[in-house]
Amino acid sequence: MTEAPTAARRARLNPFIFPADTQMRFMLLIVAVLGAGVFSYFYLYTAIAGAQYTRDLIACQDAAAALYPHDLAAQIATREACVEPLEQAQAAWIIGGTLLLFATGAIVYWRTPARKIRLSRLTPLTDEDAPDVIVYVAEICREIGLGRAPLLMWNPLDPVKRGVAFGRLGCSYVALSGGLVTQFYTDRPAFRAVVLHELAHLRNADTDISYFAVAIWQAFVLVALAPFAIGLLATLLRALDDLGLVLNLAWRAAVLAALVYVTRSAILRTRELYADVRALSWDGAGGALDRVLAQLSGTRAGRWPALLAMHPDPTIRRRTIEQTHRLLHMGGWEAFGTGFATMLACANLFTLFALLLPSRQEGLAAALALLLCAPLAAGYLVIGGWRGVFASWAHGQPAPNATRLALGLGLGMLAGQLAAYYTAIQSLAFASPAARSDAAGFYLLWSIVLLASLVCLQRWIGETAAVWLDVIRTPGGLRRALIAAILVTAGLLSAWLGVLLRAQIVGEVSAQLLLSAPLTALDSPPLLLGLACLWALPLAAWLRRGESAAPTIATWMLLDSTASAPAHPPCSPLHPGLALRYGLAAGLAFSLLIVLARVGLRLAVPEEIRGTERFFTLFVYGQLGLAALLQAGAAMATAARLPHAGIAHGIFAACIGGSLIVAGILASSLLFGGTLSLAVVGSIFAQIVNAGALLSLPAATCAAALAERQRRRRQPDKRPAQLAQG
Amino acid sequence: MNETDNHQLIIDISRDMVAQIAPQELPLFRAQSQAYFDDPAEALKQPVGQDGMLEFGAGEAVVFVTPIVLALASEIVVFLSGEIRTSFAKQSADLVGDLVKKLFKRFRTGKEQPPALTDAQLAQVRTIAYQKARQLKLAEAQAALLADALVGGLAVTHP
Repeated sequence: MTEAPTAARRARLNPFIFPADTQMRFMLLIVAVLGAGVFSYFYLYTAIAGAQYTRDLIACQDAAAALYPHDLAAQIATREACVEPLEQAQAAWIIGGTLLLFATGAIVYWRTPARKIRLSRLTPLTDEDAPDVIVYVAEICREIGLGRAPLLMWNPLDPVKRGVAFGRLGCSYVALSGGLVTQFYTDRPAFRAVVLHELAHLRNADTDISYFAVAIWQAFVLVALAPFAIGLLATLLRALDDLGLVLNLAWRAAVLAALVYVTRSAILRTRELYADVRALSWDGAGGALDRVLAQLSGTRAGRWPALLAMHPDPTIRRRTIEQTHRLLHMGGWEAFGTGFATMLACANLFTLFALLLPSRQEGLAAALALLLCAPLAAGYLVIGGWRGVFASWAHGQPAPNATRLALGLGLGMLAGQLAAYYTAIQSLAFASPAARSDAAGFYLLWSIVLLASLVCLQRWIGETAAVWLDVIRTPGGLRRALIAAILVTAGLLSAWLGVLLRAQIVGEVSAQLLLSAPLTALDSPPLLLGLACLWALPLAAWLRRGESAAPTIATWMLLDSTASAPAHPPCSPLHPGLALRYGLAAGLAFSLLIVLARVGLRLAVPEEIRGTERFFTLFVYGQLGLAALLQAGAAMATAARLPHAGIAHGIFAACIGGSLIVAGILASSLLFGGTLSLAVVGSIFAQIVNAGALLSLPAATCAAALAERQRRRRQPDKRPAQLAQG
Repeated sequence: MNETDNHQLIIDISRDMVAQIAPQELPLFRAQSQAYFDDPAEALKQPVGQDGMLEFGAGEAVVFVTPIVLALASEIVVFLSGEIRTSFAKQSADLVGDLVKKLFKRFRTGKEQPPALTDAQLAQVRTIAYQKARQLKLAEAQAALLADALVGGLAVTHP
């Protein structure tokens, strides 16, 4: 990226061109409630029907053993057929409970306007009482282009100067207090500022989200948490031996409840900030919003009160309307919460789907769970990454550190897995300290792979954002690019998490079993498509380079339409040609080496050894390893050489190299008397290119990061944007 | 004077005063006067501004003058009724009510010879009004303004 002139710092950035935190946190809340609800009902089923369920399982086992005492396979099949309806009944119970939870939330939400009108003693504001207020508010609605004016309510006995927007789908209200109506006559600008703020909630479409968030929290406490707590207490009173289980579940439930509550509060705080900014965009810098905010009383000092408060501190609100780019940054803790909710829901849903589906469909169960949950994590990574890059791009600052978001998400995922119901039950089942330490060692390695892969993915997201922001011209273009990035990231993340989770299950049983299956895992056309998108999506922007850039940053990217738009940063060039050359070099090098290797092996290794399956397997793995290393080398060289979009260029180089390597393998095979079939060609292509791309992603990420650090050390006086131009 | 007439007299007097000293509260007057007569003690409470969930924020509360004016007017009407009753001990209750009304300028047609309050009685009215306003936690300056407005609406006998 290149440096934007100082004018960009004066103009306020428009946070509404990206999805708002309100909507994103709402998705997080729904996933968190889903995960927590399934957790609660798993336990409640065990508490209520667990004893009978256990008896039925034992009966199935005994019946199967009696029918086939000497045929283990038949015994297992019979037992599975017997157990399947029991498991499905359990799954149906849990699904029913979860549906009840959401239905209760929906009912509470639907009844909220009537309840609010009753409790707040609101009555319709009529012409008889304040006709000029009604006319004024109607004029404001027309002025701001609000499609449907809300119904005006008021409480003339309420002396506090306040307003509130509320309602439900298809019906919205704005309520004014008596104190606020007097302000219409005594301080018209302040009245206007508050009314604009309330109308902004309607324009931002956050009233339904907010009231449903409140409703779902209430429903969660009433229908899930309270019965769960009662069930735990009953379990403890029934048998003190179950104290370990009770504690295991209790701390997890407390964490889940805290997550749901904190997320709900975060939604309520965020909506106020976005409404303030929207109101400011209508009222202008000369309006009274800042003055009105200055008069509000603040929240209690301290991190925890701020986390639990339902209103942001007025100081933060005033700072945000002045520095709107603050709404574009996503914190590490938020990423942690997202990762936690995603993995918690995913793990609990996997256990549920495994019960619901027929036996041996764990792969499908995992896929369904991931497809439901991974898009949330993908959405957060993409939107958080793009927003952060946009803020720095517009202000001529270094791109934000991708590591914090990725690590936050990854650590949250690890914590979410620990909090899952299955983990709670399983953690009581380890028999020996040795077994525990083996599992801990594998889990540590697995965790490092997860975190590293998320860091690589987040850096790729940042690169893609930087590349596309240079060429995007319209809000529609930004939307399409974001959707494409989210779809690609969601697909990749779902697939990758599926691979990791399968590896975790298998590896905890046997590391040898894990190491024997990579070829099968790599022979995956969907993975090939996903990895191709890693270079295709960013480099597709190169096709738009011919269009001349506007002289200034688009006005729709700024909040102040009247402010002078800063100059558009010059576009940093993409170099797919250079990546192509590195890839070709890797491919040619491999082809030469493989021919030499084949000749050497024919001369050095006897025929009877070369004909064995073990030799063939070693040769195939050796070929694969060499191919992957050369591709990774091409990727690293490319990424280190290019200061802009190094990862995308690197993976492109690897894929080009991989394609040429496959051609080399096929040609050398034919040369030495082998035969080919289309299916074999397809498998070899997928394995080589996938292996190379998977190794190239971390390799290119490291090379790009190291090269960037070197450039900064060599030229500390230059801004990163200037360094990117070389 | 029956209760309805009494309330109406208080409302009329109070509306004039509110229009004079706090016109921004006129849209609220109808509802506030109804709430006052339903439960005067509740209407005179000044609730503290609370940060309601999903509302704009913890804004400050205004001090509504209307309930205080209604309370003052009620007190003064009672006082004046007593004074008139003492002066016209043998007259009927309706006549007393009429006479109390005519003590206020707004209810005079200009034809009849008005009953009069002496300076001492006016001073007493002012004192009652001022003390009541202060008792209801109104600021000194505002209490004085209210008391003066009330007195200003009364007819005076000039020697």
